[in-house]
Amino acid sequence: MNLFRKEIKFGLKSFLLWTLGLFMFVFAGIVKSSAAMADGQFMTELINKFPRIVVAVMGMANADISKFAGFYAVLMQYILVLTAVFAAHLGSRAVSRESVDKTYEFLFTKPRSRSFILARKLLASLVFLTAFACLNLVFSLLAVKQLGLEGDYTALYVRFSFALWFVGLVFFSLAAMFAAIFRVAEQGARAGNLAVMITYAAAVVYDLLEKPGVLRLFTPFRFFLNTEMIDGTVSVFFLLFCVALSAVSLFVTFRRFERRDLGAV
Amino acid sequence: MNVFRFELKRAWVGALIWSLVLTGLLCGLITGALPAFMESRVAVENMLKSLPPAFAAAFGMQMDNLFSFGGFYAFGFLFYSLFGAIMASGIGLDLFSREKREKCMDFLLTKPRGRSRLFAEKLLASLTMIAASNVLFIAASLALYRAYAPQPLMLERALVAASSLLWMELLFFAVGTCIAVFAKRVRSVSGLSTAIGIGGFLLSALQSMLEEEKLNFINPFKYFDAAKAFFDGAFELKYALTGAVITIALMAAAYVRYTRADIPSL
Repeated sequence: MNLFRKEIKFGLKSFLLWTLGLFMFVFAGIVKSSAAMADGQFMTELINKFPRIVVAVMGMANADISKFAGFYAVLMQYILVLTAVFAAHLGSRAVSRESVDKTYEFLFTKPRSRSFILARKLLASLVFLTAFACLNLVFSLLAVKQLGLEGDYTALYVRFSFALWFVGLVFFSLAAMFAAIFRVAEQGARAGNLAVMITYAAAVVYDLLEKPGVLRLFTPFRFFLNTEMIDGTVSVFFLLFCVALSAVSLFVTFRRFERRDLGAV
Repeated sequence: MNVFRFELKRAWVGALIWSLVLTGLLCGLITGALPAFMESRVAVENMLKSLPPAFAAAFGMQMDNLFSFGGFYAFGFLFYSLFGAIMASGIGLDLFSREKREKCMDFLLTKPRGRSRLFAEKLLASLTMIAASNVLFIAASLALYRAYAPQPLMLERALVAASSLLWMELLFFAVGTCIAVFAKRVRSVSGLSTAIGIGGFLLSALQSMLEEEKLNFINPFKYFDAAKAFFDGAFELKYALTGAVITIALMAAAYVRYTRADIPSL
């Protein structure tokens, strides 16, 4: 428990900073939603007149922003990117912080196996990710209360918060895996961040195409589609795919980490 | 000029890749989407006709600006800015925290060169990379402008608009440098620079969602607004000035700190 507690304490500051970003964004977005919905009908029609590529780049594809649910979905697309970057940061930090800080000799000579230590570190990071997703739910509820909107959207927030968590989990595990595979910590972190960017670009391409087909498998940002989230018909296949992808990445992480040469950066 | 050469050698590949991605994105968006975007004007205008005249008039004012090369160019700028911000803050972080990260500060600082000299050489190496990257971006912008914009061309406006990326990058470079110099330790350059870039992006999104004029003062992507430059031929003075002052202040702070800071023993 010592380790777990220390990791939580260590990560708290950066977690609070990220939460501040989340808070600003959710509140600003939701407060603005009433104005956006007022000319939403017009905006939606207008957007449909634009070429697909422009809409896709704006992140407005497949969403009807004249309704609150559609607007919220667009907002969540941004939050999803934020969560992915945060999760990747958590993942690579959990694996390579001791190497970067050159404290690995201190920690890994303690009478605990590497896997034991890594598990505690990853667990602490997952707590932050979970808290982040939960706070998204809390902020959404609070912000909408300010708005005095009729209709109950709690289920929508819960679904999206779950989506944040699962997509975050994928990037978290991927980043952890990269950090374990690459010998140089910076390269691992870079690979984790690149994964977020490349899959985001893939998501834009996904919106661009009429029939994207298998492309959906390659971009966690589209595992949970706006339309599905709004209707509540979450794809079970992609939910399991998230879990499987994370499980495989984490498995590789542990295996690599157990055997790798620990060194300073 | 050893430090200059060394830093350039270490960092040029990353800068080159970012520059190519940025320029590629610009070319891809303009060649791929601009023609279709212009064609959609008819559909939008038809739609506006069916609306109440007052509403259509308010919107119609912007039609010429929106459906022009400049309008589309500025539309993509949010993304060029994001990438540029990540690249530039990354360069600042990377170069100025290198000795800190690799714990070899004493190695560099015991060489017979003053700290201001070291700072200057690192600065020069960074500026060289940022400038080279922007030469590529501006050249591509102007070439695309010549190819796609209708006559008469206003090259100097396009030039000012394209240069907005450079000024914005300098601002983020200063932010990165400052963090690198003041932070006790820098764990991951790419992680931190991504966070800075996303931070700028969030501030920008915040402003565009709230549409609060005052928020432009904390919106680093809008200090040097490409759209404004395209349509008016110049940046808005108060924001440009804010950006310039912040950049210079941060760089000055970084310089003072770099030349005076105590170096902790390992």
